[in-house]
Amino acid sequence: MSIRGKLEALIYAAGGAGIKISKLAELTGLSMAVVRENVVQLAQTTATDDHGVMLYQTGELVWFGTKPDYADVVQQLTDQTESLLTPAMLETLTIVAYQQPITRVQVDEIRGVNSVVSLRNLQSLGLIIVSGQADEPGQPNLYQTTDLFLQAFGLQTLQQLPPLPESEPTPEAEMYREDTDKGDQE
Amino acid sequence: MSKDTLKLHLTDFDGPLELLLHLIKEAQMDIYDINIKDITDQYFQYLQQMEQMQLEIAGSFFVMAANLMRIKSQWLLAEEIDDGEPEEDPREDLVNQLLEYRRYQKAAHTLQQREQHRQRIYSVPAVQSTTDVEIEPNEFEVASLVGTWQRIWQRQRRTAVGPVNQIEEWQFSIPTQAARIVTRLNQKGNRRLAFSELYAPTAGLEEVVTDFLALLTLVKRQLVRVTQPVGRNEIMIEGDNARDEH
Repeated sequence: MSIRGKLEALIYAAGGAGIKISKLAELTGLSMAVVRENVVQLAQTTATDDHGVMLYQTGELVWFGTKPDYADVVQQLTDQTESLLTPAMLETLTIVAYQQPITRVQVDEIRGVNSVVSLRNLQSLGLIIVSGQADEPGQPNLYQTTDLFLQAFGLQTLQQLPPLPESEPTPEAEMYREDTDKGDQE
Repeated sequence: MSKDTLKLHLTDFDGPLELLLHLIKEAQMDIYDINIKDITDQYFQYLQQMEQMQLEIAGSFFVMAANLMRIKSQWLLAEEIDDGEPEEDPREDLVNQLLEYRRYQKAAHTLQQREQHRQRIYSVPAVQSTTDVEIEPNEFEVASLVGTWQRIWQRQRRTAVGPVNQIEEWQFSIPTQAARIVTRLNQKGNRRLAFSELYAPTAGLEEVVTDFLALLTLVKRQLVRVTQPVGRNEIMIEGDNARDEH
């Protein structure tokens, strides 16, 4: 039995939910460093064109999945369908992702709408968790995203979040001044 | 904006900022130079339509309506006074809020595309595990319970007789069902029982719900343990010390 074979077998058996590097080390008796090194090699090997299934890593989780290139082929076999997220949930999740840890009130301020339901739904889906309490009156809950969030969006770490779009450059102050051509006219 | 467009979008807006951005875009206004009178009119027209269709309008829409009215009156006042003194633009806060909101809308769109890409990756459930599920703080035990519950209920619904929308007097109580669960566990040699073994396939919603609540009560009182083997939908109930307590 090879080290890589063992790891491959374990990762395969763990399915799409993935298995943690630390769990792999525990089950094989190998050091974390050795596991990591072999995981990287496995990822490289399976990433080559010959493979339809490859090793993915999200945070500390590794798992096997089919390659997106083969989605249309696999689709014929499964009825796995669209997102569970409503637009409101997606918007709320995005704000939490970029501003975490963040309180409900802060999310509300950005969205201009009460986000309590969206936050609760995201929590029950396991995409966000309460990570603590803000040090302010009422000690409101602070929310942050989970590893499952990373996995659902194909990210390895939060650093891989696409940069938040910049605010457009604020135009000259004159733009704000009343301009009878464009401004309010009675 | 035509009535049809209004109707089309009536229920599409999640909040006042989203609606305002939409109205601004429709009217092809410059977000930095919003025609506050027009946009206020359109906004109110929209709210009216919602009222006519008897849709429930969230409080945040009214708050925004009041805000728009305030900005509009300040704007008109500033025009009237116009003493050449540079004054603060009453629209400024609103514009900043809209711009900030738009940033996250764009980011949400990007994330959605990522999610769609991610969904092109297929993976399989884990092999059936005989060990207990480890629930770590960062994991989603509630989601799996909810998922299980939905599956249980879907299965019941397929096999249940009679209409499910018929309301009858509640015939099951949590203490009774809890005691029943404990008894059933004690009858089992290994003190392990699948949740679905508790009731007949034709059991009604009421019984299943009560059983589920009773189970949660037992878990809370630490009389039973609940596990969910990885990859299986079934909830397993274990009652190590159940006999001592009853």
